[in-house]
Amino acid sequence: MRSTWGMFVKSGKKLPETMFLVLTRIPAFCPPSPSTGRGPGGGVGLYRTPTIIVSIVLLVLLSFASFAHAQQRDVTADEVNAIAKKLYCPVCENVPLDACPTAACVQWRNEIRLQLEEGQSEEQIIQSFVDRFGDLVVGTPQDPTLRALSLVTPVILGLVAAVGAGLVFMRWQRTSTPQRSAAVANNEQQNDTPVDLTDDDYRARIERDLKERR
Amino acid sequence: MSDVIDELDFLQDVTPRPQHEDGGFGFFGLSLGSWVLLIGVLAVAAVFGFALLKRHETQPTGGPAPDFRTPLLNGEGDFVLSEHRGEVVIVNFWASWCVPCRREAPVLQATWERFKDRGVTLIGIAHEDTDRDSLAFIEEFGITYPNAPDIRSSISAQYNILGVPETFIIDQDGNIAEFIYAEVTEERLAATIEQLLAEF
Repeated sequence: MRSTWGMFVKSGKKLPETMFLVLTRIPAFCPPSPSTGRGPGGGVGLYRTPTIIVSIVLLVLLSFASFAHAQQRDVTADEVNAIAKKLYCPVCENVPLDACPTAACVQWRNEIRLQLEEGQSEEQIIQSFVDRFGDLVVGTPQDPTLRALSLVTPVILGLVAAVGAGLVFMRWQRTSTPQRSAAVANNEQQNDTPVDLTDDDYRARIERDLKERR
Repeated sequence: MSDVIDELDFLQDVTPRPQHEDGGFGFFGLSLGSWVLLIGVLAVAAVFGFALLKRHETQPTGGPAPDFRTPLLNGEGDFVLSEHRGEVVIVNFWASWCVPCRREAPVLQATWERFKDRGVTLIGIAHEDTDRDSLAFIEEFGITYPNAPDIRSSISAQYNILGVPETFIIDQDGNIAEFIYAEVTEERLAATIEQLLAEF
């Protein structure tokens, strides 16, 4: 049995194939010889009660092993790093977990791998890290006051900027409309006004120029 | 010259213009943009200033030890510091990834075995360490004194620790008697513990 399991481990065979190999080595599951009517172990197959019990126990154990194998999936380094990228090193400052070479980060990345193998989602893993190590792992300050300040400040700045921009826009609209109307009216007035030919200086200059031409 | 100025009425007009005419709110003569900038600078300064203050907070070396409650790693209930008044309590912050902690673990275990029946409690706080690795570390070094995880790093924050290992020795009244910012030695621990036991 151990040698068959060793074969499985060394050869890299898939579990169902190994199960078949194991079962065919158990006398209770082997067909009786056509000539003697007895199995390879010398007994009469299913009538050998202890062998049957052992075989059933083995079968159950193998089924569990097969189930566990099916539950666990292969996790790639890319999958681990995709989550590690969203977390920060616990001992360095502002270093993402995926880029950190410290022993602590190596352990944390391994923890991510194990949790992925257990079938946990990205959100569940990140939440488990936050629950276990605090908000600092996702880059949020640990101190409540500092956390509140750092979270509220951008919102306040955004609101102030938005209100400010709104007020400026409203004032610009209010002041620019009458100014524009006045400018248009002034322009129209200038275009419609005829040249004032009654102006003495202007008439005198024109007449002088005309005389010089003649 | 003064006659000319006298004739120009607008130069005599000294009535101040309302600030809002040039786009300001009219508060303290600052424009809207100045106010936004001022608030922004103050908010950012508050965040950085507070962070700087927190950064300069150091580990307590005296006074009452911050109380904490944490579940034990072996699942045998909680450890509450204040429930150990009347005992000398050694609070040791460690991590399985920390090399000096590996050297320190046998020393702490030896100290625990030496003093555990004389009113001394030792609690290990696993700092920034996964439970799997903490338990493997405990098994590897055969540690029998209680150990607990630092849930949400709250105990580390209370004691302002900067790394591991760090050890606090707390007297029978719940005050910090000594802070050790290095790997502990059995001699140093024993000297302080003996002194505290003798004084009590």
